[in-house]
Amino acid sequence: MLVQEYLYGYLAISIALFVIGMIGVLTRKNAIIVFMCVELMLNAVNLFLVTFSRYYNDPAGSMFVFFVMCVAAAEAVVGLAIIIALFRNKQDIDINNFNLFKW
Amino acid sequence: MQNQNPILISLSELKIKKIIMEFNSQFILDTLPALSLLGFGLIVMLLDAFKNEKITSVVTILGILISMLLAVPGVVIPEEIRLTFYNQIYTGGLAGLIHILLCLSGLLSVPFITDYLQKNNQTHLQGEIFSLILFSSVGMNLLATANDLMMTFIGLEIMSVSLYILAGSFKKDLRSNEASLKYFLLGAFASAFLLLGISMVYGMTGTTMLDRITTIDPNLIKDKFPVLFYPAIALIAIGFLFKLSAFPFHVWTPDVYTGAPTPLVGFMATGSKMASVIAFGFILNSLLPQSGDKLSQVIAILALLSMIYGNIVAAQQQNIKRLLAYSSISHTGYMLLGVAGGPEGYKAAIFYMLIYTFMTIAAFALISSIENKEEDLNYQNWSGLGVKNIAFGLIMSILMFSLAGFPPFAGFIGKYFVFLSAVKGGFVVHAVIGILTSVVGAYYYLKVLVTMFFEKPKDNIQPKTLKIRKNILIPIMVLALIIVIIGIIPAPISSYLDILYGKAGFLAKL
Amino acid sequence: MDIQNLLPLVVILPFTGAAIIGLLGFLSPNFRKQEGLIGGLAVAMVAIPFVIYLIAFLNFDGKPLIFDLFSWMETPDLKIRFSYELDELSLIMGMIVTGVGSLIHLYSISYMHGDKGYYKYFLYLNLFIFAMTNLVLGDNLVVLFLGWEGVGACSYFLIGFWFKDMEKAKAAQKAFVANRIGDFALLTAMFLIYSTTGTLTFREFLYIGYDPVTLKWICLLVFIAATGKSAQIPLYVWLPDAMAGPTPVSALIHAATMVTSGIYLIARMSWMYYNAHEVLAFIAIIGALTAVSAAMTAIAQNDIKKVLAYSTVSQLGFMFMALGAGAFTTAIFHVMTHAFFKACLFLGSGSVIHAMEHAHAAPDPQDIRFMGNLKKYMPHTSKTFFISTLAIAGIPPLAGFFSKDEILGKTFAAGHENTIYYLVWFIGICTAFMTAFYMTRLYVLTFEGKERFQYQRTHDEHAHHEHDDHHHEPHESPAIITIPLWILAILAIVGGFLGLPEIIGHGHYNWISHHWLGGGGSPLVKNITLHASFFTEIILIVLSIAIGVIGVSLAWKLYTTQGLQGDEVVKSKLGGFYKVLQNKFYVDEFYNAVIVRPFVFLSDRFVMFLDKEIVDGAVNGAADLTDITGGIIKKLQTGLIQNYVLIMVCGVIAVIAYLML
Repeated sequence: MLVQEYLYGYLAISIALFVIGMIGVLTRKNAIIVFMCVELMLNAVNLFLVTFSRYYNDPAGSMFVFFVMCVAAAEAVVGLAIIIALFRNKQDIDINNFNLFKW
Repeated sequence: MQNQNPILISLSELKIKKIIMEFNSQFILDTLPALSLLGFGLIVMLLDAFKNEKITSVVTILGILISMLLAVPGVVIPEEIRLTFYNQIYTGGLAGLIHILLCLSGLLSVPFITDYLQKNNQTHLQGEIFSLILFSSVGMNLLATANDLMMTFIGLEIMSVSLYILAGSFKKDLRSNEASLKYFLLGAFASAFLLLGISMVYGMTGTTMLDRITTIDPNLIKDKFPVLFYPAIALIAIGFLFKLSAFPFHVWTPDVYTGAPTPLVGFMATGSKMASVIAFGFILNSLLPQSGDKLSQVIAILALLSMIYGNIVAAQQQNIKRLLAYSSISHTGYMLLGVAGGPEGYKAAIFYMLIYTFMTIAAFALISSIENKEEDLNYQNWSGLGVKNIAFGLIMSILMFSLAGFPPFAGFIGKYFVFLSAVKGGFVVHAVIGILTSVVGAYYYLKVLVTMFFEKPKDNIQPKTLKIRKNILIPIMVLALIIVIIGIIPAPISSYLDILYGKAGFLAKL
Repeated sequence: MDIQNLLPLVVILPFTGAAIIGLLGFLSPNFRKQEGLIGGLAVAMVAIPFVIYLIAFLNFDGKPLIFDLFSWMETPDLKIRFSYELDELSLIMGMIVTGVGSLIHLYSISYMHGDKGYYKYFLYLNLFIFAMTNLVLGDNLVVLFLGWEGVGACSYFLIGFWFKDMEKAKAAQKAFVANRIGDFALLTAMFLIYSTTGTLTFREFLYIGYDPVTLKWICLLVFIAATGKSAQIPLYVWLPDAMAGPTPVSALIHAATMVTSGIYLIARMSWMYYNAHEVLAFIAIIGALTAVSAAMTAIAQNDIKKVLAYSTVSQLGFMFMALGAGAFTTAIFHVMTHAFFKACLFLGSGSVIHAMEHAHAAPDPQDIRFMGNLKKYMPHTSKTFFISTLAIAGIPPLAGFFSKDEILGKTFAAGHENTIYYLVWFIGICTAFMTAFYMTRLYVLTFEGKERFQYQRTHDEHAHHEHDDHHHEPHESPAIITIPLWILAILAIVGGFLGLPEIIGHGHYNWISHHWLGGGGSPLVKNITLHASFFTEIILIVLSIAIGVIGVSLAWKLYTTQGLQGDEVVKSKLGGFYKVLQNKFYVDEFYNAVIVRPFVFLSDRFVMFLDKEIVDGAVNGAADLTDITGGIIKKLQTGLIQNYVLIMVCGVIAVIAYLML
């Protein structure tokens, strides 16, 4: 059983992680690192879920985390594949160099 | 006591045994429509693996048709919508209809995709594209009929991940690659927000089941977690608004629509939006059964911004795909105006989405029929095309008039219902501005037609292939006919939607 | 079989025909060559509805037959249903439309033979019948309006059928613009009716009380709409130009059916007009002026179709005179007889034009100055043309006599109430004289007298000349053309007996006015004018017979003896006025001088300023504003992923902030 006063500590950490991930997405240039930052955001949410799962003493939240991890893994597979395809065609994965379409 | 893990506690209560006991053949029957899609997706993959990609398109169409048929019994005799599969998803009645509607966009796109791949000598991609279409249809189905927010998330991800790959399915084409990358990064980013929103809801209510969340008084939650309440709702809404490409979460739309293979855009632009709008309306209803005012306002404002932004920027475009992409942002705006208008409006929005599905798939298919190189997509090179190729000109006119919302075409009916429900929901000013922006919309749609019909043909820059190939001409004509017919006789469909919505439990209490 | 179940077919069949012909013709080039199939299908889709009308007509028991096709939109505030009503008025109109329509379809099979757009022609023709059916059967103004627009659109397509011809395209545009003005008036009237009564269904809004001002406005607006569609002053300029289309189209649309829809509409709303006397008088005056000016113009025209066009305008003027005199049933009677003889005349002229074209004998196949003595070559055409000419000239016992005499009689009788009608009657008498004159002139110049065209005879020594196949004798058209001509000619003979004059049995033998349209359940107001005395009636009839006979014989004598020189005689009699007539009263010039020129002048000084600086400024400003804002905000889409992410994050923050604050 998680006590209410600790709860906010955990939540703060996970929100902080989420924001760090967000800032990473906003600032990093390498597509893979940007993607890793997205993963960080997902993991921050996982922490959030686990915290509440503990707080309510309810397994559903923890189960949810497993699913999120699965989905994240699937996304990683697809994401890396896309980045590889890009690299094959352009020899570059700096996301600022991809602006064929604008306006 | 402290070290006892909650998971272990529940295991010890023999829940698992109970779960296994509960699992029965009824579950399989109830989920058969989705399961059959999944099964056919696997079959198509296997066919591809054994070099039988020629028949994949037939198998795909067959699979989707079978899956739609399986949902028919619940729809023909409108039955009560009910929960199944450990209360994870809805089935029967309205859910069946939703399944059929969601399958439509896949079903309608397959012929055009087949033709497009043949034209571009990419037939070896058939297998993977069709299996991904089937998988993403499964995702749409789960997303739209989910009762558990976890299921919503999984459905959304199954759908989106498939779409990311579809956008990039022309691996050698840098444009396709870039579309895929943008879609993927932004999509993953947005789903992180959605997930955060879902986890906040879980944090506030202790459950992810929507039917249980509905029973909790939102004011109690608000008092208990004042900091989380609105962010949670906002984040969930944003996750869906991204998929619906509402301003300012539309950023991916123009680029992805421009870069992705043309007939696939028709699929991506329709099914996923339909699923999202259904799920969005449903979740909003469950989270905020009566006090949705503030969120409705936000949605209405975003709807307004989408209409204005989409229409004004679309008027600047020369690439027809990009024009349609921006115009799709404005269509999202019209649809959201319906959503903001309350339960009556969801119906209008779904109806709008259905009409939009027909129009968009037909439009992208038509464009793909004359597309050989990038310049063919610039509609200013289409001067005189409408006279030279009457079929193209005629169908394009029907589509453009319908998209612009002229009677007696389907687009008008859709807009009419949406604006009506918006006015009923108290958004009169929004509706008026919406009608004004649709005038801007008419301007650029008609500009395409004017170029096609009234400008002198310039031979050197015209698209080379003018003939629409026989095997896609008939499906396109059928779509155009449907648009005209819905425009003339909308009553059966809209009243049928009414019946099913009346039977749907979650709206009955409103 | 129950007739009620068959009724929807009269609406559905013409549409089905159009759809099948359109789709198959569009899809398969082979189908386009199956002229017999296309024509047969098109004829059947019009003839079957005619038979259904006929059955309904024979079984009609005074109760209107109502049928619903479907409801387009049903919301609590607005119900738009496609429902139709067959009563006495719409039955008779429907029979005219499909009866004359199927004859003209039949005629077209041969007339359009070999045309590139053969299937398109029949597609439009069937579509026209469909629209016209909606117009005359619709039980509410919405359906009527859709039909109204539909016939306009079809006529627009058909006038511009040979699209390459620039002049024809221009004529189509003229028709389009003139009709738009009328449409606008009709829409405004519909809006007025809806806002006062909350319904647009005829049987719901016709018979209730309106305040006089609203009523007057509604009636006036509907009349303006009618002047657009039925070619009355000042919107008649389009009809003579509309003759650019294929001749059967002129016969069907611009003589027998579409142009009478204005008369139909006013007759349909007769219960409202009944209470608006000023508007009725106005209608009568406009009708009379149109009738006389068109008749005068017709005297000086040399194009066979132009003469017929002006004569149509003139006859439509007669119908409006009848409406204006409150004789609604008489107007419909004249619609019917006019449909017979005018369709016959137009089809006859088509036959002549075909022959002349084929013979390549004249520089212009439509110019009567290059015709003459055609009766030698075209016996059937000339006979039917002659019968119809006598009919329109008002020679008893042909159809035109009865209806025209009734109109004149009613107008005269209306003079008791309002002396202005005496003037109208007088103008009518003059017009009747002129009608007899110019129609006889047309007949004589075309069919009698000397040949004024040259063709190379086939037994000529140049028979093997390379151009020989271009120079044939003009010859009679095939049976498929002459049969419709004869049917119409016979109808033009006997059609009048449906409405025998009052003096015979006090009107009890006037079937159409007394029994059919004037019956108890009829939607029309029974003729509201007083009856003239027996003696007056006799005098009027004698007068109108005399006028007709004098007109015909004068023209006959003049033109058979002098040929084209006859025109010179007329010219010398009329002096400078003839030139005015030749130039169609300078209407086009008048419009130029009164409307266009002053407008240009004003726009140079004042309006240009207003227009350029303010109106244009506003319009351009709006366009520019969209362009500029569009140009700026499209830059939001930079193409860089991180900017996109930034936009989204801003959006997230904004949404959360809005909700929390």
